[in-house]
Amino acid sequence: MNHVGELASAYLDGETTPKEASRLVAHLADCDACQREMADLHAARSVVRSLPVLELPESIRVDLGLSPDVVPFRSRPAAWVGTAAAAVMIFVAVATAAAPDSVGLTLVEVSAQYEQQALVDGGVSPVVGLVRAGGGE
Amino acid sequence: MTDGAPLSWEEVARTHGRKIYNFAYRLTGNPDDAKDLAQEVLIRVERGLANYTPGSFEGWLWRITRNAFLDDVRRKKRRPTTALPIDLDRTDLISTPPPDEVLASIRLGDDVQKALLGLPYDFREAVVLCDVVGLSYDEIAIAVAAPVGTVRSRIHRGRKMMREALT
Repeated sequence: MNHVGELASAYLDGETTPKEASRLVAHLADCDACQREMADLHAARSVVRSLPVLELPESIRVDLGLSPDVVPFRSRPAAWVGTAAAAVMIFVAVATAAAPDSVGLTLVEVSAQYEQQALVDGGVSPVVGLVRAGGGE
Repeated sequence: MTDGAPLSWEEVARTHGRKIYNFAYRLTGNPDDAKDLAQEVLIRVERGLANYTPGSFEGWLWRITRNAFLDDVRRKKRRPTTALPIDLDRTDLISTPPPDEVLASIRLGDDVQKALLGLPYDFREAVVLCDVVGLSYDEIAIAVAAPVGTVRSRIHRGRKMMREALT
């Protein structure tokens, strides 16, 4: 199989077919480069998803006569949670154990910090917990 | 929101106003532009709801949002590429004197915002719709009028560029 390429991001988003996911996981087990790429992509994804959620400015709410928004910001959980999480956990564990220096430390630290905030805010991502655990060892 | 369900403007504004503002802010990096855009989108939604036909509501809504943004860019003949300096007095970010870890978080957020603004527009838009708004690839494809495969590619390339910019 070719390297994972675009499938990697799609997999993190739960946007691969079961067949694609199986192929990707099998490839990751034997490819250090793709493990590193997967960890990099996950870190980039995490920092954006963990940006602070800004409230709608008060002036807009007043102008439009809206009450404060009490709806959860993200109502759509990551589709892969529960279906592919185990596979992701395996590859991340392998990636962090086999190549601890392969991910830019700064970005991983950034990712971990944001993810911690996201978890407090109700975000879901079991993968970064492992990245954080791996980076801290 | 359930596709095809009767929609009131108030309901849309209440449930999506904050997302629209966050989309606009992350795309522009500018709170004033984001506020103007969010208001414009909500006005367009109010006008458009009468003609909304059941389908992908998210795709419809974000297509309106995207078009409003692009119209604004064309009108002002500029493409936002720089982030504003961090304003620690922003009440929508923090309401009490920030501890060190919060200050660090805000600085890191500024780095991420700058990296986002450094992406080509199509990539930035796809990444923000996916990772800030939380749309599925199918919904993003409708919003940006592009095939799902193109959406997949833009998100992937955008993340790779983010990773390079933040390293």
